[in-house]
Amino acid sequence: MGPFEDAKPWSMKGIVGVRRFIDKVWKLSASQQASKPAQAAVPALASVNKRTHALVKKISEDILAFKFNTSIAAYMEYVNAATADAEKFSLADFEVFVKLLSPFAPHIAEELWELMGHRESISKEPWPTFDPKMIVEDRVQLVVQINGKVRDQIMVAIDINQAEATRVAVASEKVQKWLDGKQPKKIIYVKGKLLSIVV
Amino acid sequence: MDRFDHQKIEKKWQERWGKEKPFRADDASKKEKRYVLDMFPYPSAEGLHVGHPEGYTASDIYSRYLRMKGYEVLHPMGFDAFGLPAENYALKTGTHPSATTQKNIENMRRQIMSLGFSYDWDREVITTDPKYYKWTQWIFVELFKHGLAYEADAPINWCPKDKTGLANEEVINGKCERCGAEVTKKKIKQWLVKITDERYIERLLNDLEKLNWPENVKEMQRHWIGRSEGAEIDFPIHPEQAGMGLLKVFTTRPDTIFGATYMVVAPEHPIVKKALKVVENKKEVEKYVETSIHKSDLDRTDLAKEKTGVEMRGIHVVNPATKKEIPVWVADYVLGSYGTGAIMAVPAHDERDWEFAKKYGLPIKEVVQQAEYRFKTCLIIHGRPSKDHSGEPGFLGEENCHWIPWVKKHLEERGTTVYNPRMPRSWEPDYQEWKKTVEKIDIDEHSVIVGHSAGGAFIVRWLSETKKKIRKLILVSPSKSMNPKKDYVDIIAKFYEFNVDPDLKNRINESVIFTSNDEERHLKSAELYAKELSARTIRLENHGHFISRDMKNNELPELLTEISLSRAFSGEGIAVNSGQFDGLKSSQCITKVIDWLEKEGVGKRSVNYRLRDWLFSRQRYWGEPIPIIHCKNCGHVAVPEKDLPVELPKVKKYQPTGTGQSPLATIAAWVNTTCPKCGGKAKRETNTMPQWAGSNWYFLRYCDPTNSKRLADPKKLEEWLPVNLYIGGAEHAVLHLLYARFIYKFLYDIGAVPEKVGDEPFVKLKNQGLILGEDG
Repeated sequence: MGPFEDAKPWSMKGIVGVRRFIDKVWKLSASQQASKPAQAAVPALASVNKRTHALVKKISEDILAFKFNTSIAAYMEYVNAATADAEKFSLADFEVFVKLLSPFAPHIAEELWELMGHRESISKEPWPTFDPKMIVEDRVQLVVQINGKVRDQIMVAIDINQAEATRVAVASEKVQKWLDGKQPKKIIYVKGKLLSIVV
Repeated sequence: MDRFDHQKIEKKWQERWGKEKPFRADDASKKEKRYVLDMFPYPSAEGLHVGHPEGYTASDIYSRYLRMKGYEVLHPMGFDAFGLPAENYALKTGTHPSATTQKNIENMRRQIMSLGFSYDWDREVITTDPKYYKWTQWIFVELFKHGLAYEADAPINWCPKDKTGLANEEVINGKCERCGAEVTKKKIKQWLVKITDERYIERLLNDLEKLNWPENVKEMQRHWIGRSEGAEIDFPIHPEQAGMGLLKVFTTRPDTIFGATYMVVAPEHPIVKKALKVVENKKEVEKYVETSIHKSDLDRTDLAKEKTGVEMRGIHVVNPATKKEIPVWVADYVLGSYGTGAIMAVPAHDERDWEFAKKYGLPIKEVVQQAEYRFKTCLIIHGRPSKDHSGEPGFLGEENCHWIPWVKKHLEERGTTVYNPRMPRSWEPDYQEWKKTVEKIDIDEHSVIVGHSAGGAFIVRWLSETKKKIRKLILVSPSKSMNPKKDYVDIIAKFYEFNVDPDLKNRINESVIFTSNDEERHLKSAELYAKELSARTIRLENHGHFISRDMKNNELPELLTEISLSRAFSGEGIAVNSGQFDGLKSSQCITKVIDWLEKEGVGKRSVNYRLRDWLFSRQRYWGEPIPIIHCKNCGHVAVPEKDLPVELPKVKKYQPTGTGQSPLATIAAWVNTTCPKCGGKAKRETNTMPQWAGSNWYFLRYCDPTNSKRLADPKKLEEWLPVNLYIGGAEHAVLHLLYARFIYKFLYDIGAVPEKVGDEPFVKLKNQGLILGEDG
């Protein structure tokens, strides 16, 4: 699927992909229900995951810009993260997610919403809001140079120190290829930006 | 928890939504309101196609989002059910259109509902419902009362397959917008809606500015409306005693009037009929008019098609600027529907006139010079003489033989720099030596190079080798060693040993080759160069090898025209050969010439539009009957509001007659009625309305879908209008979207649309992209 106003080819693969995504959401919901029984107090919004805040921002902007294709990608990414890292996502996160999903996939959203114990149609819910403070980038692209040439870019925590950065960089396959088994002679590190290795 | 059972769950929620109606739009809501509109579909037998859900999904996501953001959202759906698609399907299946339409609507409604869109189904409108089309007819009556609907007897676009007239907007590249059949012309009585009325046309154009629409759609509407400023000029027709008066033309370039060397009138121009009484070649003109009247507009105006025409011998007009008599031609490359249906032809500055003049040998007079023209250089390379003439008395050199001095003189008079170098030992040419001579000359991409005979071969070889770019290459009877004769010595054979660079044609803007009908020896070479250079060939009569002996004189005006005019120059420049206007820039010249025309009383400032009145009648069954009664005493009488709707009679036979009459004309019981004014015997109008009639106002009805007193309660319209977002296909750019804007403005003007909401219906428009086949 491409941008709304562009011509695009019909794709059966795309349909299968969306179906698989819906199944994933369904499964995620099942695990949510199992691990966090409904009678447990619903955590306050403050406990909503950073990723969820970012998703609210992303989907709201996409809808206004009619960029539905990038919304779908964002949902998928979110569900993958939530599935992989379940303990970091609360029931409150999931509620927000279902609301965000409801304009795109209203049937499953209504069903999940009901399963979460709500009586009214989800369409009557207010659209979730996000806290801009919660959407600070905490990971950055670190440029890795070997003998002055850019050989890789890796995602690292913004406050990573030189030792840790070197460890992550040296572990990268691309970097290993250029190191070719040699030992670093000199390492220059600009925090959160550049790691330059001379061999 | 089981696997997600989409069928069960979708059905469950669709039923719930149907019962609880969470998407009902509440007129009385205190929330801020938004109107999100989809283009409603026509109910076809095939059901939804993949493009529909794409647009509907987008608007649905947006509507659901707005509701959750706290807006009261009107998001309705309906069916555009009259028209040819439904009727053609009915004809194909032998079922009555009302039955197939109903079936198709049910099927499509079910399909749309199965996708779970959040429409307020309580507001559904169907254009074939008499309660709905009562108001479609009411709008027509209002148009009629306000002088914006009229009957005319004019040749119209006719689709031979659908057997009905078509609006200009429904003819795409000469073909029926619906079925693709080639559109022809037919003359029948028609209802037209005056979309070109001065109260509307400028607003339709200017108000595009305030719309948040895709730029390409706005541009298409602008182009379709096609406003151009210029002058109307009167050319008196002679002989005066024929009583034909003046021939009026519209032109956007009155500054070129001195270059008008002939006139063209469209075959359907009224002057043609009058002229038949006096022209010498009556039969020929009649025959020409007869054949062209059936051609489609596209065929007639296509630049690629060869232009045809006939001179009306025995009449002429006087060009008010030059006072010269010029001939009048009938030619179908001029359309009766554009401007006044007649043009002053300025072949030097209009491509079509140029082609036509070339074909019929009409004079071409240059009256606008390109600004950079004076700085252009022209290089002329002479050919190879059979022997060395340099010792002969009075010999001025090969570069001053044949037509070269004549052409040079005329070019220099126009300020062109001409180089005609003497090539070394030209009777035994050596490429390397010749090359040295030419390399000294300043050649750039603005240069024109002319090569005669061996000079032509040389220049092709040199351009192939140096990869130079030039503006134009003209080869005059060029040679290549095709038939070596006994006088060919090695050095000459070597001179011709080269291949034409296949890329050369891309470095030259234009290539032309001159040959003559009585030239045989170099004909093959000319053909070869023409092929390799993709050159245009000009074949003159009795010019031989273009040497003095063959030509009998040394003037070659055809070459001069080719050098100075690459083709018709339709751009702006400096006026020349235009009397007191010489030296003026085109833009200034236009104003000055119009001032002069007005002073002389032979013309005036004028605005012309491409947009024509909207053909509003269809000779088909499945449409809204036009609510007009024809009375012998009272003329056209509108059906009074209390008698609306004029219901479409339920008949067994609804096949198009193909005669230009609607099938309704055969139902005497329905046709015969009484005049609402005088009570006398009268007949109903039997044409029906086009599909656009129902769709150009449907979004108003959604605001108040059941109102029986008026088209919609203004209070409710005020709640919802204008439409905040309209989503649909770009194919409606000049049809539905232009018609809907016009009708809305009209309803606004008569107070049916409240003043508060403004006179543009769709604030924002989005077009969905096409969905292509699986492989793109």
